[in-house]
Amino acid sequence: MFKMENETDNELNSPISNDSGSILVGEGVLLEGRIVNAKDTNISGTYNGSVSSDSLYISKNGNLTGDIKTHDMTINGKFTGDIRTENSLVVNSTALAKGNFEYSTLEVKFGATIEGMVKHSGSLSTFTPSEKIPSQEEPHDLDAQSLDSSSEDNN
Amino acid sequence: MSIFGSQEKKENSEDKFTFPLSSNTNSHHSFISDDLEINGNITGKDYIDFNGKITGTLRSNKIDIREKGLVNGEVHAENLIVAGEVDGEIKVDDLYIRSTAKIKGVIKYKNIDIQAGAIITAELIKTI
Repeated sequence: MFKMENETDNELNSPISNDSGSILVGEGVLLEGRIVNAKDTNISGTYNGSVSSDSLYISKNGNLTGDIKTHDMTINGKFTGDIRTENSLVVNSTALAKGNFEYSTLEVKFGATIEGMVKHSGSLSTFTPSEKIPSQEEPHDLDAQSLDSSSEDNN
Repeated sequence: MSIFGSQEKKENSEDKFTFPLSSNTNSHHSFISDDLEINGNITGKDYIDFNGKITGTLRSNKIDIREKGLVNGEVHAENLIVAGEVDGEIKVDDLYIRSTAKIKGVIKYKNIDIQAGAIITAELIKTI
């Protein structure tokens, strides 16, 4: 199912090594779930779920459905969902992207399909590519904390 | 009737004045300078080189909204290049957005090309 020799063909524009933080969903693979704290993510197969990664690359045959948080993102294939990129979002001519796009720099090549809300945000000061896992609750909400004076939740 | 008399004298004096651009009439290329502020609609059939400010609708086959150009309203064209600002609705076939552009509103397009650096907060709709 994992054809390693074929996967290298798709890596010309997105070097993926055995470095920590890299994830590759190879062509023909169907994966569902949540990707957190990744450095380089390459979607050449089909992935349904959220991604939090420094850089995210969707190959021409890649198909991604979900919520994305990245610094840099390149779309060559299909995407449906919400994207928040702190730095650059590149939508190439073969791309078919639908959803909500929040970006700092947006580049769209002639021929691409991009549909939905596009929003420029110059400075995302609160942005962290390493998404907090929801179970690690933080007392960020003072009102909620004062209401829950009995700290049974932390036990 | 004395009013008409005085007007005729003015018209005679204006006949001697030749407009500098009047010799270039071989094509329908219209130029709107950055000195112009327009409230209303501009409708052309050919090409508009737009540097001014308009509150209203801009419509032609091919439109260049230059860096100084500012549109508050609608732009309809087959071929549009935006380097300036548009606040409103864009409806085009081929749209080229330059890095200096600022766009807010709704963009309906058949083909779109966006240069890095453009500031766009809009709803993008691809038409067939």
